[in-house]
Amino acid sequence: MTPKRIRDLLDRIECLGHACDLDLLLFFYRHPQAFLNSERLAVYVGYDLPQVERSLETLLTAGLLRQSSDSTRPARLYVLTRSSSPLGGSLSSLLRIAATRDGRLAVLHALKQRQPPRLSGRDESEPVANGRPVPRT
Amino acid sequence: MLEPDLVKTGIKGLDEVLSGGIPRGNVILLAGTAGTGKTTIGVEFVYRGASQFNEPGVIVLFEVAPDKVMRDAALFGWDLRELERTGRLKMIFTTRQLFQQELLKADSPLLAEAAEIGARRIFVDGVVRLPEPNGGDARDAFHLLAEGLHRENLTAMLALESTFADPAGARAPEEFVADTIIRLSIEPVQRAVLRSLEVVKSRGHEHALGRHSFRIINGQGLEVYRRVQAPRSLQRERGAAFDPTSRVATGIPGLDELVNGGYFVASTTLVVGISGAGKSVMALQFIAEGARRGERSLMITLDEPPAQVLRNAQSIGIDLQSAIDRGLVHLWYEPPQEFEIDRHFAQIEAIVEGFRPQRAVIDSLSTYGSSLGPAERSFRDFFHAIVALMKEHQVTAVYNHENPEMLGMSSMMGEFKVSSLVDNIILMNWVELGDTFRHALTVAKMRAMPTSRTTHECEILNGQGMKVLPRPLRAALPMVPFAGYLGLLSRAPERRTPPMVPETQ
Repeated sequence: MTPKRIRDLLDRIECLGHACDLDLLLFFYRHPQAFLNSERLAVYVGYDLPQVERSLETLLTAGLLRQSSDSTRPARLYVLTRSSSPLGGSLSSLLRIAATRDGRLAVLHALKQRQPPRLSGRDESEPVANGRPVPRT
Repeated sequence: MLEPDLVKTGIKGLDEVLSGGIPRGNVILLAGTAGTGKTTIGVEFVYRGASQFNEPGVIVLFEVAPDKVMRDAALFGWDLRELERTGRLKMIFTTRQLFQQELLKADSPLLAEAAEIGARRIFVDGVVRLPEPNGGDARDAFHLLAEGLHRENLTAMLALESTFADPAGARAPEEFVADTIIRLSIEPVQRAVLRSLEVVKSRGHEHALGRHSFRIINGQGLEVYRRVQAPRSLQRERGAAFDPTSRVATGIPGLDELVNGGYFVASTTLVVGISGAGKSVMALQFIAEGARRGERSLMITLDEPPAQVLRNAQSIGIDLQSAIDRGLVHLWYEPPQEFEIDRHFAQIEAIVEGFRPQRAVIDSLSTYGSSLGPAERSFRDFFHAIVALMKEHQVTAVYNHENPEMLGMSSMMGEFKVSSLVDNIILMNWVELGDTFRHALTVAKMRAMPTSRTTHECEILNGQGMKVLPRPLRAALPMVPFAGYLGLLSRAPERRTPPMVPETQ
């Protein structure tokens, strides 16, 4: 696990910009099919609700996650789409690295080292990278 | 009569306890404190369904992360990831509240996920006393949950955490609603632990009552051992009616004559005597005689490991290893330190059914006695079950029992009163004559056969084994025959005077 390898993986996955993006992904790596509402998810991953909702949107838009479509319900079924996503291989590699404490810290460090946020006026709990939803590839 | 549609759990031994399985659609409550094996049973139930019975399943988790369940399942050889990949399993992580809410909705996406793979089984791990959504009681809440599962036509196992010390004293309201309740427990037994399960109730079919032991075995999963006292097949009882003409040779020169040509087929013979009296030698010769005749024999040894038994056999001229290699002898050793009697019996049952011996020896019963203790009925129940098993399979069985009394015997079985269960009893004694302990043998009981109950001398010779000496002794032998004494077993025999007159018959 080298910093360069981590940077390469992050570049390939591209959409990850905020620590919450990574921690949500890690949560879904351990719970590949989770039926939860975003409030509960926020409690599990330890970020504030607006940030969790932004990160969920990021992951959903990037096609790393899919959710049940009924918007009338507060809870959704979230399914990690490792195998069906074109980014599956890179994502699995990154998640394997980040699954350990040291690996997670290294990935978080690499995230911080990446280019600064393009959008101004965001605080620490908001995405540090692109911020905009990344289109599905 | 309509046969019930039973769902096989696939868990080794459990379907026998459940008389074939659980009626489809039942809600099964697994109740037990932490560490009793609820999650393992539930996961195995779904795994076996998906992998063996083409019944896809869903596992719902509230607290344990699915990746940990997958990791733990892999230790048993269950590849849950592969089942997920092939659409036979879904593991869903959620909260109790959401799960409960979803079951009340006919268009739940969670249930749609289950329907998508055609799920027939569901395991919900970590159900606790459910809050009723509209302020009702827990029993109503559980009833609604059960109705939701029933509507989906799922056979459901729900793991319910018990926190009370006395499970019988505090019944959870869920227990009244569930169709099947399996209570799991773990208890210390002589510094070891014993896992057991009890089918408290199960609607729609029969099941074996009582507590049955089980083990969680790495690389395999659960193995349930039916309570040794539980009634078996009627055939087992009928096995007691044995063949009144055939005889099974004992392998001890001189003994067949004392037992009317040999033991009855499927009879039970108890050989009782102090350590060193020759019981194990007799057992080895019985087995060797079987091998010589091409009959299969099972030898269960509890006191001596196989290498030692082989060496002992060698010392009396028996090549036991060769008989084992030829498939005529099955030598099975189980160290007695941590006996679980249900499991032990299940293993013997499996060997008897698989190997189909014609002869069997257990050396010795006293080891069971010291492991199980005389206070409870366990020993007698176990022995009763063993006797019935051997009779069902028409196995002629010899059981050794160590009697602690060195000279003579004041009782045959001491605290373990099983002599009424056996057909034949042979007492092995030491008799002190001059400065020598000599071996004596008395056939004390022969069911359905006459016996003289005279005491005979025997000897054990290196490389040859045991033989019963002729009576009266030939004049050439420089020993006074037993018939020359009074009260041989009284611990103070007296010489007859005047010298013995030879018997006319």
